[in-house]
Amino acid sequence: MPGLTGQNNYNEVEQMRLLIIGSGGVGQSTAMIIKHAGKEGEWAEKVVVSDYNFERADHVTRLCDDPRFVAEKVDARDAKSITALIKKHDIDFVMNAVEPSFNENIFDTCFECGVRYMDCAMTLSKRHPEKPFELAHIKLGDYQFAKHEEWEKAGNMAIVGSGVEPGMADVFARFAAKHLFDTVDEVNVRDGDNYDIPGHEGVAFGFSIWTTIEECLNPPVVWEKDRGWFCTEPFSEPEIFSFPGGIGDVEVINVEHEEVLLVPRVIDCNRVTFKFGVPEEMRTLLLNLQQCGMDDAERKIKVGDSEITPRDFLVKVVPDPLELAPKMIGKGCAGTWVTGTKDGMRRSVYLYQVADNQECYKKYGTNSVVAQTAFSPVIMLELVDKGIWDLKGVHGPESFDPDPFIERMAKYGFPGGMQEKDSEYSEMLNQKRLMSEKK
Amino acid sequence: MTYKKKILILGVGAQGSTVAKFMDKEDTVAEIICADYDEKAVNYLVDKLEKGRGTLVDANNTDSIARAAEGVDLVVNALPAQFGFNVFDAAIKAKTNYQDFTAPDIPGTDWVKNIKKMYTEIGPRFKAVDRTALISTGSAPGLINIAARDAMRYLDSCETIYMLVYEGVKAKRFLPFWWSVETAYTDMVDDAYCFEDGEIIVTEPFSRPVYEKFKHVDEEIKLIEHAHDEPVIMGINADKYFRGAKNIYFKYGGTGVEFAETLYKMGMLSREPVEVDGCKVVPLNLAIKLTPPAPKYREEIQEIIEEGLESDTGAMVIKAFGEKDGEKVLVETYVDAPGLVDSFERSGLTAEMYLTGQGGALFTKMFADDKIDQKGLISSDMMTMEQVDYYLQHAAKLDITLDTEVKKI
Repeated sequence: MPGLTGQNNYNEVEQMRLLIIGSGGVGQSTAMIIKHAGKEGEWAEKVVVSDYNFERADHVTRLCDDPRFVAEKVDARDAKSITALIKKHDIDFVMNAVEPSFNENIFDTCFECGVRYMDCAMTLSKRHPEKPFELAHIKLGDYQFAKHEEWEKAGNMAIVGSGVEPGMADVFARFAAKHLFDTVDEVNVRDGDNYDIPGHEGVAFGFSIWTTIEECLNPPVVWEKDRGWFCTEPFSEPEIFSFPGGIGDVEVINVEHEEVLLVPRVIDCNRVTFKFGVPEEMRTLLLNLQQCGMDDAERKIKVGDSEITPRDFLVKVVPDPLELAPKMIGKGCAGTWVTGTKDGMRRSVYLYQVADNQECYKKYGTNSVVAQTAFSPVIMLELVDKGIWDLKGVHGPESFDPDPFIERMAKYGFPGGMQEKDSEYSEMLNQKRLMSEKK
Repeated sequence: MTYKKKILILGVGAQGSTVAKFMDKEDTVAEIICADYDEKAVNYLVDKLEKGRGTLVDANNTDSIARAAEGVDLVVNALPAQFGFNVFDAAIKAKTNYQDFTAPDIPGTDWVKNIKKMYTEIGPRFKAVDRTALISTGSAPGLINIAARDAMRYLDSCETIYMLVYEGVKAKRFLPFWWSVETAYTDMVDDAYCFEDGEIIVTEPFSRPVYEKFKHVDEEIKLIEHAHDEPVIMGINADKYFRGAKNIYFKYGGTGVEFAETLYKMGMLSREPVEVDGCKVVPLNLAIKLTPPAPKYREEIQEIIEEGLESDTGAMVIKAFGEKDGEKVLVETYVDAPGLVDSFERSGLTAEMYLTGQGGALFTKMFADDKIDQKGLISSDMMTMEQVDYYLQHAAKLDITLDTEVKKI
């Protein structure tokens, strides 16, 4: 039974007793992917799916139809509520699948309870008060990394930024550095899709509305070896990136994302960026929301007799991504484009994972964006449970050995791929290929 | 010598104030009574007028309006649309003429039925007291109806009329609307109406887009269905005044429309309350609360202009398709009018206020000049060609002109 000492209270030998906080798209997908893994997912002895909305959690456990999956109500803002569930179910690992505004509370509660912690998005940033589009201020994950030593001393583990991006993208960066390059120049995470919802007239968010607003409207952060972290204007530096999987060319733009904060901590390189394909219409919408303060997640607004925070209200009003999932067609690609040198030649490689929305919906009942986000933490949970990934303190996914992760991607239904992009090295490979065909 | 008129201006907002100031300069006017529930606003306006005096009215109370209207020649109703029928009753009771800028809109009632009721029930009552009610007399409706009537000169028969309005003034700061935010949003989310195949039909907000490349505007503009009087009143009058037109549409586009459409599609303009943490909030109310209001005062407008404008453009266009001398033709009429900077320099007003106010004031002038001789209730699209000419002749003095081109199709 976990105590409340801050010390490691979990048994590293037993199967995992997992608490998922949040049963939205990512929480549901996580549970469904564990369930779908069959025998391979038996490392999870118990999975408590919790949500502020109990009915939603209950719905997920019913979909899983497995006695290991239990539904509970939780208030992610309330440490006591989380602690009570940890105690009740003898939890040894907490996966945080709610909006990152709850991160600090969940992260600290896990530390207090001595249970391991994982999230898909790190604690939030705060923009620079004077030069928000030039200087980085409080960065994503600063709150968590500031507590690394405490966690390390307590013998506990927190894996932060463990979804697909951040998460798989970070593993890819480490994999590239380990196997594909002698020196790494740039690590550029690139995400694009060709999603469409035929006949849908309204606004469609493929991912948490709260998080989409946060990511897209915050000043994007870029890292360079000589400058460190710095910020730019939202939607800056547009570029056309050609995605595999039949998606093709998509215009991508800078967005604030964890990989830029995580990768340079571990991988020796010169530049790290994150760019995402945000359609023009969505950019306009997000800017419009910002212009009139509807993106505000802090200020309370009095409307009639009620006081509300505009962004929380938007989340309630805008159609839930889960509702639109059945209608959405197309594919999404997440991946990491790495450049550098290999055997004295310039090399450029894109490591990626492509997911088809309709396939994901049939399998997991959620859209491919959240399903992609969920499969990575599931692999990581297995690796942690089996002791393959085992570091004390607060870490991003690039801190661990990437190989066992890559090996398991296909097993969980999300196979990865690698595209050799034009470079000196690819020319050499092409020449070799031609010669080998001749033989 | 023309008998000098006494005019009651009900409501001293942007529209009422503009009409009052315009009529203050007219020789045919003896007195302008400015009435509102807001004493400060009344005094502010009266101070600016030579012929003005103020009074307070409660627009919810017909007797209060009728008392203010006693002995006047014309009541100009510049109040919000929900007071329309109260003012009709008061004007009939006071046996005075009546003018308004938009059809009454009473929440929870059938808008089209209300409009029809004006022609069939209110009209005969004005006729019975030998007075005239002239409705829908701003810029759109109002000036645009005059332009549509004028276009009929070039046709023997008419099939389809499009009225296209594009608001293209863009400030540096975020300012989606140049008039009341509340009115803008409710106009945009209310059911719109068009006249199609000879019937008035309901259309979805933001539906049936058309794309138009206006002269003087670089990009192609998307215009959508918008709740407005014109297709309804002109539809009712199509046979007599619009050469038997079968289809009449009002389409609207611009920065505010694009912005409102995104909110609408997100559900943020819904009137259905949404519960958040035990509180029920109407999304539309939050949208109204957060959207910056249109500038009203001279200093505010000046500040916006001084910040620099991203664009100072717009368009009001009639496209009437029909036949002339056995050939199919398109009559395309542009209403040319001052933009924001020009309007401000002339009058201290925004382009929106200028066009609506001056467009409406020209109808008031026609009353004062004894140019309205019909009795009963008429709408601005029921002007005779002589009245259209008179209107346009005086509009030209304000640099509001029509530019018409007839194209064979």
